[in-house]
Amino acid sequence: MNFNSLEFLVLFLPITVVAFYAAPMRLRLWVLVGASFIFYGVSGLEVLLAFVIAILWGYSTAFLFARWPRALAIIVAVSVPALFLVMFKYLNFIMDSVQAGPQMRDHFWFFFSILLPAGISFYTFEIVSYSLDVADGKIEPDRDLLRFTSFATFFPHLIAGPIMRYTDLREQLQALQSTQILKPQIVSGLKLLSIGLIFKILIADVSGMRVSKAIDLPLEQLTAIDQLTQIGFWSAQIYYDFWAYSVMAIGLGRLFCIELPVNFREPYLSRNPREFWQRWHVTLSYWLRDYAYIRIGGREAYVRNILIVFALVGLWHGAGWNFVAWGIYHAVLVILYHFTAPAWDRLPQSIATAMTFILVSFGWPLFFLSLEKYAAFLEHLVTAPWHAPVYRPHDWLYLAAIGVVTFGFRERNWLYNESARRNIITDSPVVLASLMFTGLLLVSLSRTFIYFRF
Amino acid sequence: MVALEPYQRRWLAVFGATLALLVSLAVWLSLRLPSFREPAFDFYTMQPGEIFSVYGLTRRQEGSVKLGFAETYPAPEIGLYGNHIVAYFGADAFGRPEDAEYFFNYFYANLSLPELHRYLLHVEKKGHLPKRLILVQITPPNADNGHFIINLGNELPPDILLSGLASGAVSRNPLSIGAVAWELITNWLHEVLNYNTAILSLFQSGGYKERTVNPANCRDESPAWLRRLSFGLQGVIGALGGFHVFCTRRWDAFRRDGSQDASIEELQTTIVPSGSSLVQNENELRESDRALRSGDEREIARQMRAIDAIGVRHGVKVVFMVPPVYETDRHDSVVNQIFDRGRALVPDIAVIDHRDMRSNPLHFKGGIHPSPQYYRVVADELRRRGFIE
Repeated sequence: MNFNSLEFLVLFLPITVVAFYAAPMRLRLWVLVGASFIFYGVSGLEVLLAFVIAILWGYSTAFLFARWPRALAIIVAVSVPALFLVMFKYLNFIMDSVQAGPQMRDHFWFFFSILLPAGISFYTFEIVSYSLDVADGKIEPDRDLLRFTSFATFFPHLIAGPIMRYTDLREQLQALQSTQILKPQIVSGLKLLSIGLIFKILIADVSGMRVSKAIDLPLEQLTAIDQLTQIGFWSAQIYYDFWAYSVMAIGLGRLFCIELPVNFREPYLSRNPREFWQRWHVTLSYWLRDYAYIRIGGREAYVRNILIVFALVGLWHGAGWNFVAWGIYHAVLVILYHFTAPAWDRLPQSIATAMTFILVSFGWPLFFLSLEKYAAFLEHLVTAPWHAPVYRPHDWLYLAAIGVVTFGFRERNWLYNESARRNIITDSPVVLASLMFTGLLLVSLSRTFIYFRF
Repeated sequence: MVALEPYQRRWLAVFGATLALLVSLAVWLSLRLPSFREPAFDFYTMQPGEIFSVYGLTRRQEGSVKLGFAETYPAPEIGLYGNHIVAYFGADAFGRPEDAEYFFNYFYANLSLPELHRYLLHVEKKGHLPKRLILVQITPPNADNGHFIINLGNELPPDILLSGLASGAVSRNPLSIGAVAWELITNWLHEVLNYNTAILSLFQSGGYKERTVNPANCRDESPAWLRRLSFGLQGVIGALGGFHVFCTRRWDAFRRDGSQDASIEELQTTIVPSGSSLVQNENELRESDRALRSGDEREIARQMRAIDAIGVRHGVKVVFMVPPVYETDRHDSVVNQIFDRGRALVPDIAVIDHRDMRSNPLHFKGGIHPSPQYYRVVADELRRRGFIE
C-alpha cells in the first residue's frame, strides 16, 4: 500500500488511528502489528510470509549469542534475511552479470515470479542491525515477540525508512504498552502528512513528468539546455520524493506517539560531498558507518573502505551496474574532498554549496539510465547545441520556484518549527486541510515513491 | 485513552471541519455531473462521417456513453470488449468503415478481465450480446507490466459491480462480498476525490446533440478573441459563455462504430501525444512495478473461462486477443511467462496472440496502441481461422 493513495489516506489510516486509540493499552501493539501486516500483505501473501520468516528468524537467533560462538551466531542470524535479500532483489542482477541462460533461470523461476517484496532492503537492514547490536552486547535480546514484531513492522517506516535501530524504538514501544493515557502530537503529525503529500505530488511527481517530456525523445533532438534542465528536474524529483516519504513517515509516527528520526536534513545545502552524506538519508549513512565502514577498518584504509562502502550504497539502492557506478561516483567525490578539504573549506559558502549541488546532481541520471545511456547522455551534453530547446520558459520558472523553496527557506522555520514559533501559513489548520484536500484530489496523478523499489 | 491539549483540540476541530467541508464540496460537484448513461446515446443514429466529441467528459462519463449504448441497444454481429489499448480498432478493419451494425468497439477506460467479465454479464442480462462474435481484448503483459489483466482499473459503476453478486455469477461467500464492498468504496472514492471530476463539473457543457458533429461541415462558432486563448481556457470560458467548441475538439472522439480516429493529429490525444516519435519499450518493466505474480496464471485462466462460458450459453463464439506492444524482444519477461502459463491452462479457448508482432512500426500508433493497419491483420486472422466469413 502506498502512502499516496486514497485507499491509504481515506480508509486505512483513519480506521487504524481510531482502532489504536480505542484499543485497551495491552492491545495497542496488536493493533499496530495487525494494521502493519495488512499494509504489507496487500502486496502478496508470499512476500508477507518471507517478511514474517525474517522477523521470527531475527527474533529467535538473537538468543543464540549467549550460547554459541559469536562469529557462528552472527552468520546464522544474518543468513536468512540476507539470503532473502539476495534471492528476491539481486538474483536477476547476478544472473545478468554471469550471463545465465534460460535453463539456469528456470531453476529460480519461483523467486523471479514472486513480486519484489517492498522495502526488503529496509527491513533486512533493521533486522540485521538488531542481531549485530545483540552480538556486540549493546542491547539484550528482547523476549517480547510482539514488541520486536512491532519494531520491524511499524508501517510508517516499513517500506522506505528511516532505517530504525531497536534502541530507537524499544522504549517508545514499551511506553505504548505501559502508558494508560497517551499524548500524541496529532497536530504536527497531520501537518507533516499534509505537507509531505503535497510536496510529493506537486514537486516530485510534477518534476518526474517534466523529465518524461525530454526522456521520450531521441537524444539528438535535445539541446544542452534541455539536458541541464532534465538534470535539474531529476534532482528535484529524487530529493522531494525521498524527502516527502520521510516527512510523511515522521508525521504518521507522531499520530501513533512514535518519534521517527529526520532522514533528510536539507542535504542540498551541504558544503561538500562528505557533509552531503551526513544530511542525505541519514539513517542509511549511519547504518553503513556503524555496521560496514567501521567493521572493515574505517580510516585505516580510507580510500579502499570508502570505495567498498559506497559501492554497497549503490547496490543497496538498486540491483544494477548503474547503481554501483552511482555509488562509486559518490565515493570518488568523498575521497576527492578528503584530499582537498583545506582548499574546499576556504571557498565561500555559496560557492561550496553550489559546487556540491552540481556534482551531486550530475550523478542522479544514473538512477534512471543504464551505464551506456548515461555515457551517451554526457557525451551529447558536451556536443549538443544550445539553441531551440524542447523545454519552455514555464518549465524553468517551475524549476526556479523549486530552487527558491529548497535553498531559500530553512525547515526549522516552517516545517520542524517549535510550537512556540508557529508559522502563520504552515501551521494553519485551514491551510493544511486545504493542502490535504488538494493532495487527495490530485493523488491519481501521483506515482509510487521511488524508494519503494529498494 | 488519549489526552489532547486545548490548542490541539481546537486545531483538530478546525482542520477536521475544513476538510469535511471541502470533501462535501467534492461530493456535491461529482453529483452535478450528468452520467451520459441514461438516456443512452444511440450510435446507430449517427451519420457516416459524424463523430461524438468526448471533450470535457470524465473517463467515467466517456465509458458511460458506451455502457449506456451497450445495455440499451442491440449489439451488432461482432462486438469488441476491451480497454483503451484497442481504441483504434474500427469496422474499417473488416472493409466496412463505420458499419456499426456489423462491428462495434465497446472499449472502456482501463478494464481488466474480471471487469470485462462483469460488464459482459451485465450486457448478457440485458439481452444485448453480439450475434456472432465476442472479441475480448486482454491488456498485453508488456504494455503495462502486467497491470489491467486481472487487477482492477476501478472504473466500473456500482450497479455493474453488484450485478455479479445479484446474479450469483460471483460467489456470495463473505470474502467475495467483502471484496465487492471494497471495490465499491474505492471506485466511488476515485470518482469523487478526483481533480478531473471537480473541475469538469464546474465547466462541463454540451449534451448528445451538441457533441455529435460532422467535422467536414461544421464551423467553430466561438468568437475570434476566444480562439486566441489557450485550449484549456477556451474550454472553460467557452463553456461558461455557451460557446460549444466540439467541432475543433475531435481528439479521442468516438466514431459511429465506437472506435477512435487514429488519423486525428490536432494538438494531442490523451492516449498518444502527437508529434512525439514512436517509443519502443514504453514500459520499462521495472520489477518493483510488476503486477502479475506467481499463481496469477490460475486467475487469468479462470477469468478467461468465465467469459468464454457467457458465449457458450448463447451460442456466440468468444475469441480473446492479445495485441502486440512496440518493443524489442522481451518475450521472456516475467509477466509474459506468467501469462503464457495462464494460457496453457485453457488450451481449448480461442486466442489471437500477437505479442510477437512487435517490430513493425506501421502497426502502431503509439508504443502500446496498435494502429488501424494492425487491426486489418486481426480481421484477416479472424477470417482465416473461420471465426467470421
